[in-house]
Amino acid sequence: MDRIEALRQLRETPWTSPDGSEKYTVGYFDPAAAGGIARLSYTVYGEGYPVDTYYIPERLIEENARGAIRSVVARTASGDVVAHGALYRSSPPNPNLYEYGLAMTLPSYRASMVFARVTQAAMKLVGTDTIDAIFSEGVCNHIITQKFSALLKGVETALEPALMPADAYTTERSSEGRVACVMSFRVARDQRRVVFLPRPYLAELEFMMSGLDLDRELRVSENALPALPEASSVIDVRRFASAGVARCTLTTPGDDLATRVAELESELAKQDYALIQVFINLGQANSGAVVDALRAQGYSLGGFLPTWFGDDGLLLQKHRVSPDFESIKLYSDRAKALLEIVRGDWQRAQSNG
Amino acid sequence: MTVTIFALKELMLATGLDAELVSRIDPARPLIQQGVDSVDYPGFILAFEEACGVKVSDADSLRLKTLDDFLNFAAART
Repeated sequence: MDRIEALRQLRETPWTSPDGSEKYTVGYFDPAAAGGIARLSYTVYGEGYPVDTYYIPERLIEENARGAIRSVVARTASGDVVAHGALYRSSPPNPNLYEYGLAMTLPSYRASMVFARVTQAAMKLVGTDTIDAIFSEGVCNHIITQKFSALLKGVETALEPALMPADAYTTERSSEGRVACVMSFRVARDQRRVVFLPRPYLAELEFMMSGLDLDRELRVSENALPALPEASSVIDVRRFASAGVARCTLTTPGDDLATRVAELESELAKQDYALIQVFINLGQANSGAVVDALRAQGYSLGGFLPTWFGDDGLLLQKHRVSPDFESIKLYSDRAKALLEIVRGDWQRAQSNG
Repeated sequence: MTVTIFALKELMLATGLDAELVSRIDPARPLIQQGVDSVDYPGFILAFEEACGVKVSDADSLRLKTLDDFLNFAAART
């Protein structure tokens, strides 16, 4: 089944939402819950959520079976799924870093403990099996999801202005333009790593790394990019066409980086992508040269991403449409400080361009 | 704590709810219809349990819709 068919079935199948009076139980995924999760996704997000899996029961079953998603659900005795949360593998190359999200509660159950119970159950998985660390992306058109970070014991380290198209939230919340997200991380099982700090962001990274309780050896990155022809750049691009976002992981930097990025940008511009994000491995000694090359092409700072590659990561980003920084709603003082850092570097990139 | 509507609103402020939102809350109307969301609500219940020395089960929480409900719940158990 594809997204179109799944949405057609959800649209055409009559369903009455529980009124909020029926008791629920919280537990981990079983295949019988898959249809209920798809129904919940449809009820909360309408047809605009950009990830197909959550509308398609078969995919939910497959991905939970192989550990790519670890769903937690609250169900009534009659089988309706009234709340859901999940740890899942998303963009990071590190398979042991899971994202926590897809936190959805039926409107009739929002005055209940259900969301807290679902999140508490999901957090019991952190530090077990393959789940060494987690992160969350809280949308910034309201502050509700950012409050999750207290339940997750997460620390805000990155901000992604204008990440998501507003129509992902037409049912949940009205919003104009594109919506920012703030990223929070929690590392439950850590090991000592070397971090090569790009010189332009020493102070910024010191702030972003604070409070994470990581065991790190800090070095300033001084190495140049490897010269051609031995090492040409390799960029792994994940395209989220419906969101207009390209997430680019720089797996092998070479001194053709500027040319490769320019070619990629040109291609993505023709397809009307709004945002290009580049993920840089701070475990590589030439991360500073990578940052210099990207800054020269108009990229600006997004934040610090602990254990993103196994090694830590750095997010740089370039917007084709100016973010509306004034509309970004943030909950914590730390996130507000992060916004000023990200906005300041975006302004630097604009003035250089 | 002596449980009054004022004391419950003070507790809401202590859990981080917006002061303007709290000041506008009508004790007789469901909290969820007045801007209290699915994260605020359980946070308030946890604070209520601690402040009043009562236990709120998940089943209880489904019946506690308004501040008046919380007031009556506390009165019946303290």
